[in-house]
Amino acid sequence: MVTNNALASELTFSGGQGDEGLRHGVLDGFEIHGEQMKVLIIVVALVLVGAIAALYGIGFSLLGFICCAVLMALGVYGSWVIKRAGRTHTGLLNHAAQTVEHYEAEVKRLHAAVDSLDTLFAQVAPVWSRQIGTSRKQTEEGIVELTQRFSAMVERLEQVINVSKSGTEELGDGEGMIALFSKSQESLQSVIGSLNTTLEHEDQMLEQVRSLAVQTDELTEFAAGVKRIAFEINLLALNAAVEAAHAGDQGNGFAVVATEVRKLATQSAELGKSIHDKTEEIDIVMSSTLRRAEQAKEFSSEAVSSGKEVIETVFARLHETITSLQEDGATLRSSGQQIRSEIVDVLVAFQFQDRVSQILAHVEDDIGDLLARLGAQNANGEMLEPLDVDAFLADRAANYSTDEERRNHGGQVAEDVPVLEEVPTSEDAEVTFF
Amino acid sequence: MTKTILIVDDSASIRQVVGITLKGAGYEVIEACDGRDALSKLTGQKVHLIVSDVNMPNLDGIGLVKEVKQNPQYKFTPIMMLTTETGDTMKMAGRDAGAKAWLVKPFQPAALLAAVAKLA
Repeated sequence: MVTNNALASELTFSGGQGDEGLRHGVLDGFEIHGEQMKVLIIVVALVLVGAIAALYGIGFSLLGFICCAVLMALGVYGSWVIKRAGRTHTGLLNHAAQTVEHYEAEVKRLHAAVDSLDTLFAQVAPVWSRQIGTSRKQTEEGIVELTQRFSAMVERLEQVINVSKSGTEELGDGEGMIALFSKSQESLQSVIGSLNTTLEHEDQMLEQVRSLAVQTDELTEFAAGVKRIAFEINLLALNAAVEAAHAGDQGNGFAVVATEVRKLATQSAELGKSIHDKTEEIDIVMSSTLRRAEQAKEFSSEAVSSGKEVIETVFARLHETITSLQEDGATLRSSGQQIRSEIVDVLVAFQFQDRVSQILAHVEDDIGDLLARLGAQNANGEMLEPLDVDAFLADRAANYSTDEERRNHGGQVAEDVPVLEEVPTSEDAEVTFF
Repeated sequence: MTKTILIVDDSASIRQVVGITLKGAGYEVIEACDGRDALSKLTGQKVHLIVSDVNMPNLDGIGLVKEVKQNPQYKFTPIMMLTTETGDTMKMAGRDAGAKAWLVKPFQPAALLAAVAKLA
């Protein structure tokens, strides 16, 4: 930039006053050359006149010839000196002309260089502007895409956390869940208690059945007693009939009674046998029923016992599962919240894009503004005027919106761009309330 | 009752970050990409707070504050500026226009939520 300015200054000097000065000097040189020729002619004429005057004044003597010769010699020397001076001036003039040509060529070259720089800037600046714009747009689109995806991830995580939380709450979170579990266990244990009561009732029924069996035994004994009594009565009636036969006619009536008693004894014996048979049948049925009842009771006892064990096992496993679910749910929620927090931190860190976008937008605006100014000059056919650099830079500075831009503008390298870790974490650190 | 906050910023990523921060805290969020868009979103529904950037196309944040203060329905709605601008001159311009708070980007979510809780 300094070189270009120096070149421009040299160009301005050579194309302006310097060029005019050289041209003026060359013309002056040609005038001096003309004067010298006049002086030479005058000197030669004066020498000739002086020599002729000396010859006429002194006469055609030796002295006159000597004076004439001296004058002629002086005239020749003067002419030689003047001629020599003329050659020197001619050389200088030729040199000056060459210098002028050189500077004219240099001026043209520098004009061409400035024109090419102007053209180059006019063509390359829009390219730079478009490149910056494209980079800014791509960065912004990329960050927005990332932000949207991360936001979606956060929302899904929140849904998962909420579902996990509500699911655990439905089961009964913490102590509530254990209480629900205990209540369910008590309910099932009361069912087992009811089954045990039923078993006890079955035992009582079996005892009653067993007591019935004892009573049927007694009935059998009673039937045997009836048969025995009938047998003895029959024997007694038979004796009575024998005694009645010994008594003759007087014993006929008694023989009739003895016969009737024997009939009754026979009927009693048949009745006793019938009772005995029925009692045996009842005993067989009662024994069979008792065995089945005892088997059923045994099966019931085993079923209740097995059911109790199964229920206890199921409850133990259920308790482990619920405990595990509770722990997994808590771990899931904790991990989900931690991941959510980290993703939110990443999202917050994406704020750099806003600053980058603003800085690049300002650079684009600056290039556009500079191009507009140059375009306005070219459109008006004006010569390229020097820019008011201070005013231009002041305009730029007025549009800055970040501290980095101001520091960069001031010549400091803005390496200490604020990053998230450096942002104060206290709640009111960066907030100004009006 | 869930409170509604209008976020105004020409940077979509900033809108996302502010939105997710506020939604995570239980607020409802409406988004606008500049001041003019924000005015078009103020159509009668209750808005408890406006969080606005300053440097935006079409209508900037200071202009938005002035326009909102002219609207009888929303003139008492608090407005917080959320911007990269740190200069006192801009802050005073925001205050004179009617803004209630000035938060500098990049911001910490806790700082944003604390300020929102005070204003909304």
